[in-house]
Amino acid sequence: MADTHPTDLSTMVTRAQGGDALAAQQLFAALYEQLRRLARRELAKWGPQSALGATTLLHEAYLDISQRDALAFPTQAHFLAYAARAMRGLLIDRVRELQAQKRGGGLHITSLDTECAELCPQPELLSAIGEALDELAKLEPALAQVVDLKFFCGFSMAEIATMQNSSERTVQRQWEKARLMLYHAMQAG
Amino acid sequence: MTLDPETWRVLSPLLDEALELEGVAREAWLAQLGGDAAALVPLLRDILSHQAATGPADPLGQQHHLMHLATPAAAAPAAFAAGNEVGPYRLLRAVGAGGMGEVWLAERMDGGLKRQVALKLAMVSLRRTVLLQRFERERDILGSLNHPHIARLYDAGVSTDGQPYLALEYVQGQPITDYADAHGLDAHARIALLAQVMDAVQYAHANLVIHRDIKPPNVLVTAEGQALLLDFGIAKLLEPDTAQAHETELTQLGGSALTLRYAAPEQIRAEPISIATDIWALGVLAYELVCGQRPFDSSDRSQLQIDILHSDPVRPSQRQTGVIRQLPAGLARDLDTMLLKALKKAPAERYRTVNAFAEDLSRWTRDEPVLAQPDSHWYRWAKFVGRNRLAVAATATATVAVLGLAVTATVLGLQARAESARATAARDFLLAMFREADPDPARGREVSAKQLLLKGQETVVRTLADKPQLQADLLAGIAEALSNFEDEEAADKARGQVVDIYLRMRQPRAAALALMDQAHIAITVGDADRAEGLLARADQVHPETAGDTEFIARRLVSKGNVAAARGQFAQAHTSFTAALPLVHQAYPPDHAQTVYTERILGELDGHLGHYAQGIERLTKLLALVDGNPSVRAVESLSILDDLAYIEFLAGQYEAAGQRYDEAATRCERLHDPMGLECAYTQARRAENLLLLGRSDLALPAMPLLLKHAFSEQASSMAPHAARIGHRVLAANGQLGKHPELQARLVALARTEGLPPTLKLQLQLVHLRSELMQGRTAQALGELERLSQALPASAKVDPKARGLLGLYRAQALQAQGNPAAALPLLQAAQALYGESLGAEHPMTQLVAVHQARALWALQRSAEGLALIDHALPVLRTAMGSDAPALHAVEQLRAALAAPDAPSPATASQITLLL
Repeated sequence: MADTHPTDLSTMVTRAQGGDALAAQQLFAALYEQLRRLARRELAKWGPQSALGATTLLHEAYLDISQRDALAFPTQAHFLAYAARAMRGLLIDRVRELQAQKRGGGLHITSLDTECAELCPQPELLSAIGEALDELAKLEPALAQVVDLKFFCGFSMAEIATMQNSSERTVQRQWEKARLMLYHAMQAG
Repeated sequence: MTLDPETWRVLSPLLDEALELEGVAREAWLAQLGGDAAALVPLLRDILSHQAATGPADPLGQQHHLMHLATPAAAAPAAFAAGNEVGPYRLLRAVGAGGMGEVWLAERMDGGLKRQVALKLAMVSLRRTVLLQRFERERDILGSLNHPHIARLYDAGVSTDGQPYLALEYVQGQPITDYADAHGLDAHARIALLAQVMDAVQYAHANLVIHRDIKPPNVLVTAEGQALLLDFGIAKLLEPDTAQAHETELTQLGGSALTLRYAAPEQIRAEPISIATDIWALGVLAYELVCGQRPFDSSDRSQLQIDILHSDPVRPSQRQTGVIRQLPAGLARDLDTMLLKALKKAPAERYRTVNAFAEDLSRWTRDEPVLAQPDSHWYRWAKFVGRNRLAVAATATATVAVLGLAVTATVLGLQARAESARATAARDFLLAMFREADPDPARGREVSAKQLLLKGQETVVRTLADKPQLQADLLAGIAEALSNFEDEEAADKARGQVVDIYLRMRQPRAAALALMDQAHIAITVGDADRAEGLLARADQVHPETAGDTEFIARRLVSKGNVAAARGQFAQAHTSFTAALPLVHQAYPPDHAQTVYTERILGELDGHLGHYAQGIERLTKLLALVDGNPSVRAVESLSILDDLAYIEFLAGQYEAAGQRYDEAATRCERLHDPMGLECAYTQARRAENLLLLGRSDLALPAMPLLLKHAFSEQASSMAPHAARIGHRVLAANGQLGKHPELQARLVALARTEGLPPTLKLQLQLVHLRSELMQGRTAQALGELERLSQALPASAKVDPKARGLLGLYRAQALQAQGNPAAALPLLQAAQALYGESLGAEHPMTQLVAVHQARALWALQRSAEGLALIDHALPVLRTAMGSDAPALHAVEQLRAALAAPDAPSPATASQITLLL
């Protein structure tokens, strides 16, 4: 059937929401690509010295997408429900990339990269967190999402509460619960 | 180990419960679990054990720089190698790299002068033809800059394969900041070094070249201590194609974060660049030289932009770093004043020229007094005053966009050009907020823009507690927008929140200023007592300190506003007069604060009857602000409106008429044509037209007047709209079209708490129409009753009292009793004279009525004397072709020649008053 591979975001979102795993995967891939492209564009525009935060990048991506396809995500919160997961993938890849560069004697070490050497978790650890999160998402997607938004994307509890239309206290509890489940899974695995 | 969904279903709520408990309580709870749950207790304990994780065992709980890694590292390899040829140059060795490209030491190989140059190889993506044209044009200008402190531009071109290159004088030196540190220069020596740079910049400005990118890597100092400025105007050479007009100045700068740290607010806003842009950058450079750090230095680009646009830099003397610490306090504070003046957000408020800045600095190094005036923050307040409301409809989805822009414009001081303005966190925040608040933007569902603002207010309060300055700025912006929707109650609440934030931030001065903002809202709604209370609290929070010119002046203006709201115009006038010199000391004449203070003073002149002074003041002010881009169009309109009104009060009806025509046109453009603003203007314009006898010209405004006459809101506009609308209809013989207006007038006149003058005016306008419709006896009875019910001591405008007498006289004349009418008319004229002066055209119009009665009494000579006195006054006031004069001229003819046709009836003349 011609429509097994939807190409427009709206269709992908609708199907992913209906439980279509393939569509969900395609949606993540599309969002990942979108974020990566936007990040490159920003880099070209502003130069390597300017760190563009994940939150800003997500904002830009949302503005970009909603301009082209207003129906795909009615609100930014809808968008973030999917995009936060894509951002996680992007960031883990970035840390891997940096590690590889350092090992390979890459030329261009910005101050931020140096900071990251000290302040970023090892890529292996991040991958482990990522995998444990995917497992957790199967049990309770909302918990995994809070981790994506807070840990990977850098949103504050208050911002997440606003997005999800819940209270800061609820988000705090979700975060604590998710954290325990992740450590438990990582220790067990 | 992976959990299955079944287990999770049981485990999840248990985990929730466990997390609510701690220590012994949790132990006890675990111990008592039974059933399915009991089997899960070991697992639960295991999971909960991770709660104690800290340090490396808690990667999720640590501060990471993960989120900042969204942009990939630019691991681009060097694009050139030694020996490469670019245009006529051969590359020798790389001497630098930047966000913009690479710099190579190179030499010319085409047999020309064997000179080593710094060859700048920019990475830009411009079409070759565009570059070539531009390079040829600009190369000559830049190449002609010949100054000992400017590195020469020898050549600029594009190689055959499209690589643009710039050949510059090769300077061996250190960036000025490094040089100063390496040589241990003190503050004076650093400023002296900077003076060389400023001399170079001034020279370039005189040659119409702006640098645009002054920063330490572009200011090198040689071993001999000579400062050399590099890359003059090159940023402009590499500007994007003008067809891509949406690209911003920052893009042209090749924008590394380092460049952004020296970028002026107008560069971030993509607004026009001027010499003030270079003055800003020199200010940043001077700041960095003496403080050892830049005024704005956030590592996050969005935050940096917000800071540059909105944050006040830390005063240099309060920095704990740099050579400024070695200075005596007084000298350091003088530096504060100068550097902060160079770092004013508004280009117009900075030093006018580099020379002025340099001279101040040089005076400082010689220990002479500095000319720059201490800093002030009035501009914020100035935005909140006056009747400057935006033309925003209250509902419909379109307003969501309008509102977003409105708030953005307010908060950021941006022009409403969302496309060209780069996103800043504040704009992002607001727009995102509004999108989320709008349940379904795609379907065009109506959402009240005001509801969005209220929701925004709530979100800002809830989510930005950790960014109090941003929170305060946003709330102040939201408060202003709420005022634009005339929801003063909500605006008041937002202002109160701003006050609290500043109090929490321990910024009593800012809190006191915010209290003054809040007091202004109370003034707007006429609650002078509350305003006074707020001002008293401001005094408590932050008593004024001698020398804080701005603060003292703001207090004076606030107190003046309270007095004016109480109707104590003389007292208000005193306050504003005292504030005026302080305002002029602190601001340029076209600054919003100066304009506001002058305008209110002009209005007060009018209220106090100092018409000539008020007209002179406002005429000057209008000439200054009209067409001045730094003054908001709504403010100019307010001045025009006020000026027209004072001219009307002064009896200059012809002049007022022209101003009102202009004001009405502008109002429709700037405000909602059916809104309150235009209703005020049109009502006053109509009143003036009635006097001129041109009531037909007021007819098009009737729908507007009717709308406001029947407005349910407790608007003070309704009685005026009803009264003047009624008179316009009557003068055009169209009262029958709107019988409901008559009833409305009667109802309005009965409103509780109406000022007695207004009440009387409403009653009179009703009786006036009774008279005109020939119901003389009935009207006269009413008028007599009114007259008796009005004690001589009643606080009523003498003109209204005079008008009552005039109408009684008219009724008596209609009944054929001019003898009884005459003394009433004489009394009326005295009352008008008492209020306006004997020679005021309105007083003279009453005299015309007397002349009419004298004609009826066949006392023509006396009547003629009155008319001959009145006519020139009226001609001057109205212009000689005003239709209102026809009836007067006809009366004169009748008085002059007894056999002439009967003059206009009294009621025709009465139409004018």
